[in-house]
Amino acid sequence: MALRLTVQVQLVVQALLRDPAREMYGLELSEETGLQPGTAYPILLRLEQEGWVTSRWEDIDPQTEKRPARRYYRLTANGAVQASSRLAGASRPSGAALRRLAEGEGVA
Amino acid sequence: MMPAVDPREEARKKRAKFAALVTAATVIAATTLSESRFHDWVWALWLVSFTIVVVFTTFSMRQIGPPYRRRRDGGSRPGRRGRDGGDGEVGEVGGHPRGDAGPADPAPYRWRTLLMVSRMMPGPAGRRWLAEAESLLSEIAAARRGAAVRSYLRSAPRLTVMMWAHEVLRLARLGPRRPG
Repeated sequence: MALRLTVQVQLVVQALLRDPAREMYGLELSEETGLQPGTAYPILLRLEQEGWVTSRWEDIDPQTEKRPARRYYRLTANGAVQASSRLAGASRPSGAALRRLAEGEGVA
Repeated sequence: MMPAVDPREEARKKRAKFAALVTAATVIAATTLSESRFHDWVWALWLVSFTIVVVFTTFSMRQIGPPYRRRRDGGSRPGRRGRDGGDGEVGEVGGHPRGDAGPADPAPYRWRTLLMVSRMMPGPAGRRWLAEAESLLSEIAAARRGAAVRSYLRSAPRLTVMMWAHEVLRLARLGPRRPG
């Protein structure tokens, strides 16, 4: 089944597309898109299943860093191409839709 | 410095506890349903089994707590579940170090609920979800943590269905297992 480009999916894809080579972790993506982490996670998982995104665990020693490892996400080459073309064809979310989304998410 | 723990030893202990629990539950069920219920010494057997079940259940529930709580109790149970499953990595889920003082905000973040929910998901996917939630919740601002947990829990039912659907499709693609 083809990936449906909902407003939330578009926000995540746009954030990743800003610098396709850059790896982003969950909290970073959540802050950049304004989506709650619980909303962003299924989207990232779906993008990964579709082959648009690849992910890896950060290679750190949690004891030294005093925090758990992050999961980093990055667009694949194919994902970047597909995302760009699908976004170009997708209808842009209206300002009202984005406002509703932000209010629903509890993000200013 | 936490002592090194042999994962095989931990797994063996877990199996032994589970076996004891099942045996005790079986004895309770058998004695309760049998006609000779509470005759002679049977009541003693029933009482011992019941105590085992109560103690084990209470002990298990106390151990499933947010990582910071165990650290403050001086507990050092390491995480025993690999993040992606099957990779042999001893994950930090449920026991990663956060420094002696614990996290800045001691407010619990429904750790048990997240753990229970993750167990409804297919094994590796559930472990990854939990590890990622833990990673994010340990870094997010305390004021936003509650909302983040709620969002994780709100999306969990749909995500669980999605994960199981994906798992079933994956198994279907692999085909039936052949003996030998």
